[in-house]
Amino acid sequence: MSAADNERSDDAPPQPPVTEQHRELANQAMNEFEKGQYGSCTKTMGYLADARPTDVKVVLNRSVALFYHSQCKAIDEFRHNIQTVFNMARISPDLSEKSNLDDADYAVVYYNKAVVLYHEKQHRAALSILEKLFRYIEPIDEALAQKVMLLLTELYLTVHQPFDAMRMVSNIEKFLSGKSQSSQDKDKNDSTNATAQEVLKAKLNLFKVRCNLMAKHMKNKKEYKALQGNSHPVNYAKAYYEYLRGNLKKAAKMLGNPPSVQLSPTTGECLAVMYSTNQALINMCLRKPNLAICHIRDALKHNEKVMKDAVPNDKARPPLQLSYVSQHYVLYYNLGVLQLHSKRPHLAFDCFVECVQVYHRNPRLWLRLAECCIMHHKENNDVDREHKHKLEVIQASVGSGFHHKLILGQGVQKDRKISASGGVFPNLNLGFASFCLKNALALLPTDPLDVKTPPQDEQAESGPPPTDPVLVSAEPGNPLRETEVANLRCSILAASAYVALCENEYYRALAHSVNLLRQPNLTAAQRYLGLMYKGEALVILDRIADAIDELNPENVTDVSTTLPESTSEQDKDQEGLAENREAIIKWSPNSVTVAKGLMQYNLAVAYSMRTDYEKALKALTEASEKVGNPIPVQMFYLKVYLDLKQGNKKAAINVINEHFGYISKS
Amino acid sequence: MAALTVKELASLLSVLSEDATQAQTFESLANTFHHYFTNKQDHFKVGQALVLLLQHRDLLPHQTQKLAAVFILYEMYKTDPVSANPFAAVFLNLLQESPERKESNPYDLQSSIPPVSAAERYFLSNLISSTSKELLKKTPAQIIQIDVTGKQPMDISQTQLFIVQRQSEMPHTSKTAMSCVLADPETKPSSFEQFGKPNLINPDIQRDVAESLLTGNKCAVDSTLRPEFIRLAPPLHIADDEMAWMLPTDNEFNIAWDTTMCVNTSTGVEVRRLMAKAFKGALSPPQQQQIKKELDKDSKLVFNIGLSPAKLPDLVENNPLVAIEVLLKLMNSTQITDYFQVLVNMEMSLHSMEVVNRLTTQVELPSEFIHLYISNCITTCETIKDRYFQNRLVRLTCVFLQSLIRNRTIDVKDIFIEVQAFCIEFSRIREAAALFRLLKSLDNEKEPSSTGR
Repeated sequence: MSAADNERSDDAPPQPPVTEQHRELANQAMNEFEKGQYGSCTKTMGYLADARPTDVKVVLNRSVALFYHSQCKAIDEFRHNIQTVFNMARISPDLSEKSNLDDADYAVVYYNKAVVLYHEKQHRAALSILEKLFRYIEPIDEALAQKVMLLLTELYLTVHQPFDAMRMVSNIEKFLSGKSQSSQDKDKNDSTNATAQEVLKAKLNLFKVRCNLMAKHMKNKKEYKALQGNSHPVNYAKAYYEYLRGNLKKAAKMLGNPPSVQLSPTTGECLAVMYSTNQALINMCLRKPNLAICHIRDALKHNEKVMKDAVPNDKARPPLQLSYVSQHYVLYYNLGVLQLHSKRPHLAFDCFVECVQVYHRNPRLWLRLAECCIMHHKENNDVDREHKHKLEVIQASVGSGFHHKLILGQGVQKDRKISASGGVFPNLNLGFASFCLKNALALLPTDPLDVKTPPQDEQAESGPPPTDPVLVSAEPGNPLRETEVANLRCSILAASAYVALCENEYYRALAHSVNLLRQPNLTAAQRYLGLMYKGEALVILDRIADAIDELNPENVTDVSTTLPESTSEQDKDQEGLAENREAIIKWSPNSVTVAKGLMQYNLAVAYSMRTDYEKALKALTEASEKVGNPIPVQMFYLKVYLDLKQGNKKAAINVINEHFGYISKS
Repeated sequence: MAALTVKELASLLSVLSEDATQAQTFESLANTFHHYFTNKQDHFKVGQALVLLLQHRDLLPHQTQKLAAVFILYEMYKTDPVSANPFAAVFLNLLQESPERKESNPYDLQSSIPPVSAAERYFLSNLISSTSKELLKKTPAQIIQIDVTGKQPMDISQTQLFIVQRQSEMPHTSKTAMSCVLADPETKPSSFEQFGKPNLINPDIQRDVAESLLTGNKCAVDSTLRPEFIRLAPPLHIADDEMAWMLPTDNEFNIAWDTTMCVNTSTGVEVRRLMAKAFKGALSPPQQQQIKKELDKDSKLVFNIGLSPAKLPDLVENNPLVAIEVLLKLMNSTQITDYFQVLVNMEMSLHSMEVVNRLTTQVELPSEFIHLYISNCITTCETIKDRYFQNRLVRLTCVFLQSLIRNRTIDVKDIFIEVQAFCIEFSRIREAAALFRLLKSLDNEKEPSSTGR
């Protein structure tokens, strides 16, 4: 035995030397494999395996042949065989830190395992293996190394890490240029190789476009212009580009005609599902949410059909590429967003609850769940003006004659008691909303306002190494950029303050509203709400004087919900990105006068809490002139309350007579 | 909050009936009350009911009834200090002189409790300060007829202070609620008997009203009206590009065949074998040639020959030429920095210097690496104890440096001071002196050009 074999014996069993006969068998098997003759290939590999039972590579290739022979359906067996290979070679199945890949002998096994995981949609597991394998990429055979890097790029895009994907693309390019240099020496540029190179270049270009679109780097038009061909991947990427730029008609045109509903046998994708989904997105941007819902429903229908096609019954085994074809959760997420914006919180909630099992790392999804609960709790801010509340001002009339009594209603928020649900179970209530908002907030990166900037001299020494912009995962959508995170934080804080008030958690409400008001990029409406929430919380925490300062109607100058212009560095790359800063559902109050009136009403409440009835009445009267008709019912209640408190029962009865159709007999 | 049951209300009303309050002493009223309400947990709801009854004069029309009701409010909590009585505010209120009361607190919840006479106030102040039990032996009717002229009510300012203090500790919001029951006596007659008698008490209606206000599931005694904020729901979060756009891919990722099966292993094994030898001793020139040939043939082979940074020093010492070949092959790999790291830190020797020198002539090495290596050489020379080896090493270093400078691999400026000091320290050695002269001449070459400007 040679010294080298002795050395290897500590990580693999010794192997008999390769004879000429073995080599011939191996070549024959490879030829058969390449020609797709999997049946005879399996046989050949059988012979070879008998001759070399301890050769790990033989075992692996035999299982590969068997797998293809089963039309890629014997996935479980293949997984089992890979495990055997890992055991035989005594290497770690997940390429853990400890294992050292002394040489690239086993790269194929790891690649194959990653491919299986990729098709089974276990993207992060696949990524984790390949990222480790990539550290040893140099010794790996060129063809395989290229496959590894391409799969890595695709995986990075699938898990929405565009910057990592971009880096991998440039790795492949570096790799290719190195190869072309070395191949020049050999001077054997056959034409097939050249076309393969062209195909690969086009592929890489498409990857680059996808990275840019995901990172919303719209400035890089070079790659976009270099997109060639008329393939669906290219056209859909082009359509996405136009969609992001706001050229919706162009985007719709790019998508072409509706494709037929069938699965691609190689990628497991259904173009029809994608087509309908993308049409839905376009229609949503055109402010046609109901039409968009129809498109998504189409997509769901297609999705179900192709799922049935792939797995017609329980016993049927689909080939690996079709083992997990469903886009169910992505579609449901999209549908949820649409339903919420069509004011159907029930339906939206059902969609989101399903999605959150898969996308539980998405802070925006948690906010959407909370928004469903809030919308269910209070459909909009004009419900206070509804007639039905007016009917409840007089609850009953008891007795007659000298003993006649009126029983007044208790106000609009009848259920002041906290629901004891605990809020962890997905119910359409505010307890659950509170739970969701806590999750949403916890998933955001630390607020930049809370991060202490390191001392200047440290930075000056050698400027911080250029890092990728921080992206927050928002699967299934694209990751959130810095400004998007900031906007999301504001929305979460506003919702949190609101829910905390409704749940009688006033200290939390105060904390959230204070946090909200210090955010630099609030919308005007959020600033207004912050003041309103803070004022209310302060009053209930018995800091009425502070509350009265906050509730100064003169501070209200704008209540638009439009997002402020972003100023961050990161967004400078995004010129040409059509951004929707406008809300789809109109929020009320939408005029400054009404908003001022509502704040003045709350001011009146604050005054009456500290028995400042004169001021309260004055503020109430002024407020009622501003808020417009019909007047929110709370104002009637307060008027009656103030009249009664001031001993002016007659006036109170008059208000009741005038507005509530009750005719007193006195 | 649980309301009274119909039976409980009937019991309470019987305690407070006109007849009973006329005829029975306070003590016996208390006994009857405790007979009916043995459970102290019920006392709060009884108290609430009593306050509501007191507020509506038609429900407790007689003075004796009112007095008895107030007494029971006290009686229920008499074991606690008066200031801890949840209904203490009622006493406080009633004890104020009527005009004073109107002014100071005209809006309060209890203001609708009708004022009481001076005799009653006298009784109440005695009750609160609980100085004497004498008065409890009288009937409410007797109390009302007491002539209080000349009798000072008891001084209860201390108790009043306590009560006020307790009240002020409560947040404003807890003091804002008012009863939802609003008395609205009809002045227009609704039946024949009432004609001309607007204030006629009808016992049946009275009982019905009391029952509907004080008993049942959602009875009015529990409802309160308080100022209520308008709480606006926030707008939906605005997010463009929230929904997922779907992009088809054209990449096919399939299970791969291992093309290295049963091939290449022979050359690999042979080179590995030779390399394993090379770590242990010098190879013959043909063997060295063989390794070089195989490495040239397959650019990936270098990663497969069992070399690792830890093994590099052995290779350098035993086979510097092989080490150079291998390092040149590894030059474009990411691992090369690890090898450099080892090379810089390994013990200085003729061979290591030869390797570095040869590398500098063939490829561009990172300048930090060269500088680090030079510093390492100089330090080794300075610290070595054995005089003979020291001389030898200094000579080697000087030759190495001269070669680096002549080949312009390094810029003299960067290391000038360090090398100059080195030369001066070892000026006894011929090569050091030569190096020093070389440095000087280079320095002089530069001088005119810099001064010429």
